[in-house]
Formats: sequence, structure tokens, C-alpha cells
Amino acid sequence: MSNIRAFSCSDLFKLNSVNLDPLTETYGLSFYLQYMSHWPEFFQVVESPNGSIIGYIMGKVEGQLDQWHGHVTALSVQYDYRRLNLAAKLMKGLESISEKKQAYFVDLFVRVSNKVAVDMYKRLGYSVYRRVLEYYSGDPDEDAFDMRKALPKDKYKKSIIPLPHPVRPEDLD
Amino acid sequence: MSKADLTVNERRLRPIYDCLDNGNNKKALQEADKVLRKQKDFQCAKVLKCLALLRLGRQHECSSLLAEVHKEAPTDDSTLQAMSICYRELHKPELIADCYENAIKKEPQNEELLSHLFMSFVRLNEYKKQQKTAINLYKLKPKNPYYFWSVMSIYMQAISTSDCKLSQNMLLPLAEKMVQKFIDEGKIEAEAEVQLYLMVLEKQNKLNEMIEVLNGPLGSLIPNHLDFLSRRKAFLFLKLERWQEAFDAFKNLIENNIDQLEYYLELFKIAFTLDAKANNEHLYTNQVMNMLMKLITKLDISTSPGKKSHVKLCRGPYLAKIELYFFLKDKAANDPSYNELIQRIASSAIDLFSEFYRKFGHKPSCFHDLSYLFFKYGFSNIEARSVVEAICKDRTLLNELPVAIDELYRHQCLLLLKYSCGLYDELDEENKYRLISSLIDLYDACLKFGEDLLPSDIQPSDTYALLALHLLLDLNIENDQILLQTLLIAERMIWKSPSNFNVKLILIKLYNVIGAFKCSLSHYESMDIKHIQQETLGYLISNSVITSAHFHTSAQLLAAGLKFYTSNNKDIFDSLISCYKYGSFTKVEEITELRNKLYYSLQYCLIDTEKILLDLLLEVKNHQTFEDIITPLSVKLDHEMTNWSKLSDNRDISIFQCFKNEVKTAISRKQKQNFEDEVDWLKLRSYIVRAIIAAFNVTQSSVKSEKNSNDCVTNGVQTDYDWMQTFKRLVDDLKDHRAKLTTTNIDKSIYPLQAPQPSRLAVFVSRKYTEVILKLMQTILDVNDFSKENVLAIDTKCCDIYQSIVEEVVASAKSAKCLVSIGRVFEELSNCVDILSLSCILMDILCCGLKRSFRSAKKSKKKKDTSGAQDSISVSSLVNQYETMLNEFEQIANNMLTFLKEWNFQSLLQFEIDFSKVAGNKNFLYETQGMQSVIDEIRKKVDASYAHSRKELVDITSMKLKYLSSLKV
Repeated sequence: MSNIRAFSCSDLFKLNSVNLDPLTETYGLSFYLQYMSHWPEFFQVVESPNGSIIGYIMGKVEGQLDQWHGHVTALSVQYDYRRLNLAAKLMKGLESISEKKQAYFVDLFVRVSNKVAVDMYKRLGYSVYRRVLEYYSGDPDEDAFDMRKALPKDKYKKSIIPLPHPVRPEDLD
Repeated sequence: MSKADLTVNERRLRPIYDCLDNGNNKKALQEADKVLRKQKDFQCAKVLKCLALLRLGRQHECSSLLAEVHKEAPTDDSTLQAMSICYRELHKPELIADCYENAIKKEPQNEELLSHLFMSFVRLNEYKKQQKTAINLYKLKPKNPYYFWSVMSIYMQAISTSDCKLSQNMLLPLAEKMVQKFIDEGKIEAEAEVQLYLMVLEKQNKLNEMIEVLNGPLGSLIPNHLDFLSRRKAFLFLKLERWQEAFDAFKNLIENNIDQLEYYLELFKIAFTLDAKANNEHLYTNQVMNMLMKLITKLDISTSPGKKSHVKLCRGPYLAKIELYFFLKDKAANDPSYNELIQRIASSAIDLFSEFYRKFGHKPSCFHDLSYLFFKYGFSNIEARSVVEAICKDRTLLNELPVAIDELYRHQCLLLLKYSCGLYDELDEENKYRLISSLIDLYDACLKFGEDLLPSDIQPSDTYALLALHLLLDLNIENDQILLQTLLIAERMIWKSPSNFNVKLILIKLYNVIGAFKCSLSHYESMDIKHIQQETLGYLISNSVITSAHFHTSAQLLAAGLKFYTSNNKDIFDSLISCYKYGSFTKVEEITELRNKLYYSLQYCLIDTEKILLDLLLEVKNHQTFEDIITPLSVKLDHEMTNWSKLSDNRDISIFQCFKNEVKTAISRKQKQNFEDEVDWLKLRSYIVRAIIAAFNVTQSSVKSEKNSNDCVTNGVQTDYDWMQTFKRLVDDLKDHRAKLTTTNIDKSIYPLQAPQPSRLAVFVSRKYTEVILKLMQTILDVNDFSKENVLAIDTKCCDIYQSIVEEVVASAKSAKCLVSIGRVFEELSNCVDILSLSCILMDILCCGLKRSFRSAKKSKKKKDTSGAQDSISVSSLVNQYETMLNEFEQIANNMLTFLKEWNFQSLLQFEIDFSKVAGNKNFLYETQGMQSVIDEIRKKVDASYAHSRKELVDITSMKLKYLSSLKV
């Protein structure tokens, strides 16, 4: 059990146990504030029974015409609360709000090396749409999978037909 | 202007913009001048020139040119945008509004200008003006968002005023009426508008009306993802005590999401209330219980081993069962008829808990859940032990190796339970070490479960080593044997589990306590702490970097921390503006609160004050450098912080693992105490800083008024401001505060280690540091106080006090027996140096005062005034006394310097340590490198850090000695 609720500004002070995970980025304040002020319904937290924050999802909806889609910017669950299906619940919430906003699909980026995460997204119905070369900067830079799941609005699941060739980050739309 | 002109202009400005964007301000200035030579009245080019000047640090020129353009009241967008940027960077947002107001006077029908004006009022929190501008916008272009901007502005007036009547009788009803009008006219278009309507209703406590809206056609505009809408309704029913509807609502919510514990907890309370009202033999409670039991049976079947099912085991219903058990237990105390229901749930709480362990022991969250429930229901350690016993009846695992990952988690959970209920506290030292050794072996052996994981993943095996560390920390870290054993295991663990931040936090704490800051910093940096974490986790190092005398690093770290606070103000207002743009009205209040929390942040105020003191410590070498540093600070007193009660504490203490509930309670008690201590510390430091600024200005203003009595504005600072009065007041404040502190209870203990470490106040007030400062300040007051006829003597007691402090500190350094006490000695020494730095400055100020009296005495002597002769006698005797004092300070500082150079702390790092006790089977500790080499490395690191501290202390003391010798009258 864990309670899911909308993200509130003061939660920013309570993200540490989730964010100190090396693969979870702590963004600048303006980044969080931008999401909160623009897409507040795409930002949720999970609380443990004692009220500490054990995970969150942050996303947005964007794109033109049939590219109008929900996007997962960050999703993370604290180590001790993994294996409880919490990420799946958060994803389901984001899919449902994207659907309500008439999106055609939901997409996300994940490190190709992060097998645990890639497998989880596959279980949740996502598939690799394309590979993005050197999307994550670091030493060395790392490629990302752009993974997608079609929503009911995309009746023929056109949005998820995989691209045959990888793309460079500057060519992303 | 024709279209062609516009493009020409744009093309001419382009290079300036490019240079500014690239940070090439010098070139930008040249480019702007080039354009201005061709077109001398080109407003936008002028403003861009201002921006370049500003960024080159030529604020004066920038301001005067900007004022010139401002008067012309430009109306074109690019000029106004550039002006906005200038004013933002000048921290004068009020002038942004002003320039748009001027522009609108010229073009009252310009929608874009008006909307910019609205946003500029958002930056100023001018809600009333926001409202008026929004209405003007709506009148100009009847678009819904403008109308609702004005409703929101009224809402903000209502929640920010302290006048409750105005808010409830006037503002909120007005906002409501405005929305109602739109509803009646069928003009509502967007979710944002409905949300705002709900906010207005909620603030008036019109909850029934809210439900009507949510159930009506407007409600369909609000999304119900994750049942957020249904949840909102359910809580409204509950608040309204519409019990039956609340009951149905929460029941439905559970049917849709069986894992959200809050729903169950509310439902239990509602069922109980309904039963109590109807006296119906627990009809509703029965219903709830049956629902829960059915749910659990269903889950049990579908998740039982061998069963192929897509249903995932989730712990919500099982936790709810335990909660229901205790809920009814509580009710049964007054109404025994509940006992029958309780029996249907379980025969005992212990059964329930061990059942929960059977189901969920293989999830790493299990220990946290159980520990939380023990805490919530006041389970004693003895009762918790019965749970452990019941679990152990099923299996005895200790000393066996888990063969699968589920088993590993179950084993770890059990060990943590044993630890948390105090079972290991009863072990004698030998057995405790045996346990620690076995945990190290388990950690080592179970690393195989994480072989496929990335280095960025946490190792499943980590909990074993962490528990071993906690057991060691419970022993006495003031014993160097134990301390080094702990450091060894922790450093080794990082080697295998480089991503576990829990062990890094332990290391940072330990190195902080022993004053080995270089070692703390390397682990802190590896955690990549940044942005908002400066506020929540910056405290991990912001004190220890100073107390370990790493002054240069302090200056860098504190400056980096301050950068976060100065930049966030802009970010926050930008996001408020976005809230209006995108109609995210629900977030405006939250973001405004966030701003206040950061503005009144304890951490911010502390590092802001310490940074000034550090600048004085590091940069002031002589009178000139003192003047350079202090002069720009003089304006700061205008907006001095006095609102101590508003300070907010956002430090994240819970980030430290703590497995014992009683320790958690102790930690939160300690955090409260620590916050009070830190506020007292902040007051003390801030009085000192401000008194110094005031004292400096006392002597400055008298120097200047001597030079030129007509000149009352120097460098923008009014010299007729009564600095003397301010200085007096601040010295009194400092005295009062010090007096108060002698009777205040200050936390001095470093235990429990997970709690915040004692405030620097503790060590500071344990000696008479403040007295030295106060005595010197009093002398400055006496010398500069014109109302006093003759000052006959300088009180040189401050030398005696300072001397005995230094002697005591040196003695404690010589007698230090363990690394923890070395850590404290470094704190004392950095205080001594800090006081030396402040004393030098105060003597500098005193010196200025004396020089002035000396000069005026000479003048009157020339006039052959008899009293003047007397004056000059008393002044020269004062000067003599002052120089005696100066010499004494030099002497003390020299003694300190000699000690620092000779101090042999290495001897404490040399003795042999017995590691056999924690070595286990020795695989882990001996792998690749021998254990001895790891410990040698730790010694080397600590030694290097201490050597660095010593060097900084020596350097600063030497520098201050030179400063002292330059202060002869």
C-alpha cells in the first residue's frame, strides 16, 4: 500500500531518498516549477504509510496533430519500495490523464543499459520506437531507447511502428 | 515605423543580442555604441547598451542611461523586454511595472502591453493592481482567461490579507459572484475556470456547493485520473459529515484501488460513526470487515504459489487488516461488544504481524511497514520481540546463507526487526563483535545476488553491512578502535556498493565529527548534491567545513549554496507567470508559499551571514581591504532580518537510516532543539556582523563629515543615517542575547549520530568568545561617543579573556586523546581564529576613532585652548593604552601560531588497531588490497585533511598578525 496524490510544491523538500539514487536526476528548481505550473495533472507522488515520499512521476503533454502525446520526464521509486508495482500505478495514472487530454500515445526515454527499467516498461506495454544516439551525456555518453505505447485515440497504432534507424538527439522533434 | 525600417533595426540589433547571449558583454557594448553612432536615438540599442554595462559591473552608467530611456516612455516591445531584463537584474521589478504603465498611457488600446503590465504586477505580488489590469484587458478583449486572471487576483487578495472580514464578506463573495455570472451566461470553457471556482468556494467553506459543482455539468471538465475527482468528493462528504454518502464513496474508491491505505482508514472511522448513530449492532463495521476479508481471501487464492494469475500481491488490504484490528481494539476498550469482531480478524496482534511477515517479508519495504505499525500502535520492544519469536518459530535463518533473493530480503527484515526491538543491545561486546563479523560475511557472500546489476544500482546485500555499521555506531565512537573499525567497513562497502548513499551519509557524519573535512567532502561530492538539495542537505557540510578550518573551501561552498537562493527568486516569479498563462490557478498559492519558505530559510540566512564573516576572515589583511569588503555591505542594514519567528527549517534529517523507533523519537526531539539553537546562533552571528557594519560606518561618517560637511550622500549611502544609534542598539541586542544564552539549554551531545550535530553555538558559548567582542565594541562606543566628555581608560580586559581562551584551547589540544576530541579542538581553534579576525577589525575601527580624536585634539591645541591641552593628554594616554592592547593581542596570536606549528596530532593517528574482531572470514576485507592498506589509506586521508586545517589556521593567524602590526595609531 502506498498513497498516490498530486505533487505539491512543498514535496520538493522531501525528494531526497528518491533522488539520491544515481540514475534519478535532481533538476533545477525552475524545471520542477515549469512542470508544476504548466502540467500540474501530470505530476504525482507516492507516500509510504508514515508520510515520507517514496516515488514520483513527472510528465507533460505536447506535440502537433497526430504527434500530440503524453511524455514521461521522470519516474523513480525509492529502492526499499521497489518490487511493489508502484511505478506501474504511476504510469497508469499518466496514461489515463494523457488519454483524457486526447493524446495519441505516451513516450519516454530510458538508458539502453538500464535493463531493469526497459523490461518493466515492456511489461507495461511499451515498445522501442527508436534508438537515440548519445542522448545521455556522461563518460562515455549513452544511447537512449525512445519507448512508446499507443493510446486508444491512435486506433491503428501508427505511432509505435518502430523506426529502422537510430536518430541523433538533435533530430528529435 | 515602416516594415522595412523594422527589419533594418532588427538586423542592426542582432549582433548586440548575440554578444549578450554569448556572455561577451564588452563586445556587446561596442556593437551597441556602433549602432548608436548611426542612430543616436535608437531606444532599444540604448537599453541593450545598459544591459551590457550592467553585466560589465558598470551599474552607475547603466542606471543613468536607463533612467533617460525610461523618461521617454518607450512603447515598442523589444525595448520594453530589454528594459524588463535590466530591471530584473538590477532587482528593481517595480520599475518594470512603471515602464509598462507609461507605455500604456500612450497606447491604452494595446493588449500586449496590458498583458505585460499584468505580469509585471505578478512579480510584485500587487494583487489589487493585477485585478484592475486584468479587468481592463477583459474590457479590451473579452477573453475568458483575462476574466479569470482578475478572479484569481481577487482570490489572492483574500488569502493574503490578515483582515478576515474583508476576505470572507467582501473579496471571496465578489470572486464567487463573478464566476457565477459566467456560469449563468454559459460562458465557462475550461477546467482551470472550474478549479478556480472550487478554490473560491472552499475558502468560504461552501463544501455542499462544491459537491454540486463536481456532480453537475461543470464537474465533467475536471479529469478523474487516479480517481482524483472521486477522492476529492469523498473527502468533501466526510468533512460535511454526510456519512452515508461518504461511506459509499470510500467503498467505491477501494473497489477501484485496493492498495490506497488512506481509503480504508477513513472508511473504518465512517463505519464506526454510522454504527454509533444507529445503534445497529455494528452493521457498517461488519460490512467493511466482510469486504476486507473477502478481498484478502481473493488475493490469497489468486497469488498463492503455483497459481497463474495476473493479479499482483499488494499489501494495502493486509495492512488495512492490521489497522482495523487496532482500530477495533481501541473501540473495544469502551464497548466490549467489539471483541467478537476482533476475534474474527485474528487471535492476536502477534499473529497478524507474523502473517504479514510471511506474506511480505521478501519485500524490502516489509521492515518499514512493521516498524511503522509498531510505532503507531505503541508496541513495546517486548511485544515486538514476541513477533520476532513467532517469526523465528517458522524458520531459523541466522548464520545460514540465503539461497535466493526473496530469502535474502526475508532474512534482512528479520535481522532489522531483532535490532530494532533491542535484542542485540543485550549482547556483550564479544558477542556483538561476533554478530558484526557474521554480518560482514553475509554481505560478502550475498553480493552475488547483485552481480548482474549496474554500478548505479543498490546492492541487495547492502543491508547486512549497514546493520553491522549501525551496531558499531551504537558502541562508543569516542573510542578510536571502534571509530576506525567503522570507517574501515564503511569505506570498504563503498568499494563494492558505490551507489549506496546511506553509507556515504554515515561516512560524512563520522568524518565531520572528527574534523576531517576533506574526507567528508569527497563523499558529499560523490552524491552530486545540488539545487534544492542545497536547502535540504547542504547542512551536512555547511557547518563542518568551517569548524574544521577549511576556510577557503567554505567560501566556495557557501557561495555555491547562496547562488541557489539568489537565482530561485526569478525562477519562482517566472513560474507564477506561467501559472496565469496556463490557468494553473491551483498552484499559485503553493508556489507563493515555497517562495516564503526559501526566503525565510534558516539554511539560507545562516550561510548568508557566515559568508560575510568568512570574507572578513579570508580577505581582510589591512585597513584598505577591510574597507573594500565592508563598504558594499553597508546597504544591507536597510533590510535587516528581524523576523526570527518566520524562519523555516527544511533540512532533511530523515534521510539518515534509523532502525529504532525510540531513536527516531529522540532524533525529532533533537531536531527541534537544534533548530532553536541554530536560530540563536544565527542571531548571535548576525548581531556581530551588523554591529561591525554599523561601527565601521560610525567612524566613516565622522571622517567624511570632517572632510566635507555638506556632502551627505556618499556612494548612494546616506551618511546622516544615525549609525551611532544603530551601533548602540546592536551592541545592546548582542549583550541581551548573550545574557539570554547563559540561561538557555543548548544541545551539546553528538548522539544519536543520525540527528543533526550540535549547533556551533554549543562550543562557542562554552567559552567567553562573545565577551572579547563585546568588550571591544564597548570601547569603540566609549571612544566615539561625543556625549561622553572624557574617556579616561580603554578596558583592556578583552586581552586577558582572549588569552585565557587560547590557553585553555591549547591545553585541550595537548590533552586530546581521541579523534573525536581532535575534531572539537579544530572547532575551537577556528573559533579562536575567527575571534582574532573580528578583534583585528574592531581594533581597526577603534584605531580610526582614536586617530580622529587625536586630530581634533591637535586642532584645539593649536587654538591654545586650555581644555584642548587636557584633551590631548587624555587622548595620548588612550593611544598608549590602545597600543598596549594591540601588543597583547599580537603576543597571544604569536603564542597560538607557535602552538599550531608545533602541534603533533599525527601521534594520535599512529597506534595499532585490532581489526580481527570485525574481519569475519576475511574475504571481503582482504580482497585485492589487504585490510592494513585500506586503513593506512584512511589514516593518510585524515592526516592530509588535518594538515590542511593546520595550514589554513597558520596562514590566517599570520595574516592577522601583520594586520595587527599595521594598526598603530
